[in-house]
Amino acid sequence: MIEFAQITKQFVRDRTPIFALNDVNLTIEQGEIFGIIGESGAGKSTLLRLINGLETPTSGTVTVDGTNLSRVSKTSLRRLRLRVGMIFQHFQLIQSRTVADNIAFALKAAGVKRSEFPKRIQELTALVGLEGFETTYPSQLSGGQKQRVGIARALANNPSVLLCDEATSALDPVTTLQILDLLKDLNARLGLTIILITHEIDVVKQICHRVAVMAHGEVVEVASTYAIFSQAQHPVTKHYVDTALQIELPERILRATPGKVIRLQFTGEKTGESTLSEAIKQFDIAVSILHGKVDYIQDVAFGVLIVSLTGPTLQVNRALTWLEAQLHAIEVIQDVA
Amino acid sequence: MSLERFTTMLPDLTKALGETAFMVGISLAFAILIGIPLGILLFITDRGLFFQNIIIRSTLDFAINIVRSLPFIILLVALIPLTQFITKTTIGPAAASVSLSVAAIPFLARLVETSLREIPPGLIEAAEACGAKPLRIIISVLLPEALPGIIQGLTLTLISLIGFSAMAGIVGGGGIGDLAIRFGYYRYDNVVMIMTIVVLVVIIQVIQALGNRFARVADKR
Repeated sequence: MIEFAQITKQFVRDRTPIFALNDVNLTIEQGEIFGIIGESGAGKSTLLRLINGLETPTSGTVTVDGTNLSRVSKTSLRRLRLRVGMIFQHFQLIQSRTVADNIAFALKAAGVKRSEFPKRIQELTALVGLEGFETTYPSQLSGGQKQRVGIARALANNPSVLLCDEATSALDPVTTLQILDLLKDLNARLGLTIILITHEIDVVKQICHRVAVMAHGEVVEVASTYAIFSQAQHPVTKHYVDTALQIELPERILRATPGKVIRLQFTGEKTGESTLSEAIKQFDIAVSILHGKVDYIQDVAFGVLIVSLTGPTLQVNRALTWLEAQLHAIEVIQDVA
Repeated sequence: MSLERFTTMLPDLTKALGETAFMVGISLAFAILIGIPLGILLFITDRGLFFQNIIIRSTLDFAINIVRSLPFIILLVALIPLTQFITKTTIGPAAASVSLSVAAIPFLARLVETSLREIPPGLIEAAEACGAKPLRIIISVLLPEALPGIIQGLTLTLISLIGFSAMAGIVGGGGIGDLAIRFGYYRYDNVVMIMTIVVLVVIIQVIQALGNRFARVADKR
């Protein structure tokens, strides 16, 4: 378990103090995939780096598995770092050393016996899907492969926590998905706690169990990923969710469409389609779907539909009132009598 | 006539080459033994690094700048008392090696520091995040990553040392530069002058080519 209590971090730049973190309180549970999302400069990177002591807070305490980081010596901080792996946006591999030697570096840092290296390196390359690349130099690998080496190095000493600093931001979409799948798999198989920071809501949507939204050095919202998508509270969060669910009906189509055009958002328990078909039966109106997007977050459906309702005005209005009661987010885009 | 002169000068030339190799060899060895660790120390004591220490860093920086701001010929003369103390004499190749070493150490240290600066700070941080001790980071990350630059630095130091060693003749240091001055300049002996120039040009070309080659082999980027 990782706990941040009343954390502030202050930098001084050009003699003016800047709050990188302002009163952050957060608890991350063992075994979860926890996302921290925010724009650059929101303080997410600073927050992540507090966990392995690469940064120290100006005030407040960070506790990792019961160890208060502000009280540890350099030696115990190094020992703690063996239990907390970290991967980076730009991989940060030793360019002049092979894949095997890069992994061996972490083993050497932990004082593992040399005779155990070959076995551990073999296990780790197998774990991240890099068998046969042991003697390859990083410059000969693709971005996704480099990140796999980074993951193998980070996991070399069987850590309980993996920190991911924008780990997929330098990768193309397909490779990003592969790396995220690998992380998800490692979380499930090894019970590894994964904390990742990102500015991409899609990454959060793919693998995070819970997410913290950061803005201007503050955590503005913490919730399960599903709750973040279905009932975002803070404007910053809403903005992220909107970008993930952005659908726009072309103006020409909208003008050519008769009747009421509504945008409805639905979540898990009541899907849009089932609610709509019930409305059609109950109120005897015609419904046509103009645009839509359905997503699944942790296997729960979540989506947005743009539909037109046509029929007798009274019936349409009654249907609309009923729909509003059933689904929590409805917006009338166009109302042509 | 010229060829005959060349043959008669050959023993002098080989002796001079031997003396140059001796002086340059000794001072290069000291540069490696002291200059490389100093370069590393300069780097790791800088701001934001794991051995950050402003006092050590600025003292070293200051001392290196002092030595480097003196033209070698002045250093050579200024260090006569030190040379006397160390080698019990102020003439000959061994005596010249003292000043050459003093010049080469800060020269190489600065070049090593520069090549270490090219390592991405994120990589050093990643090594720290692995829980590695400072010595482990120096041996397994800093030195291998900076190796191509260090090889280039050694090449440059070696070439500069050969140039500096020519001035050692001033204090009776011997060597190939001394030969060129004594015969080519004082006696207007063009054959010896051209001979030494050719030999020096060949030596420097070979050293530079080898240095480039080694640096390229070490570079895995």
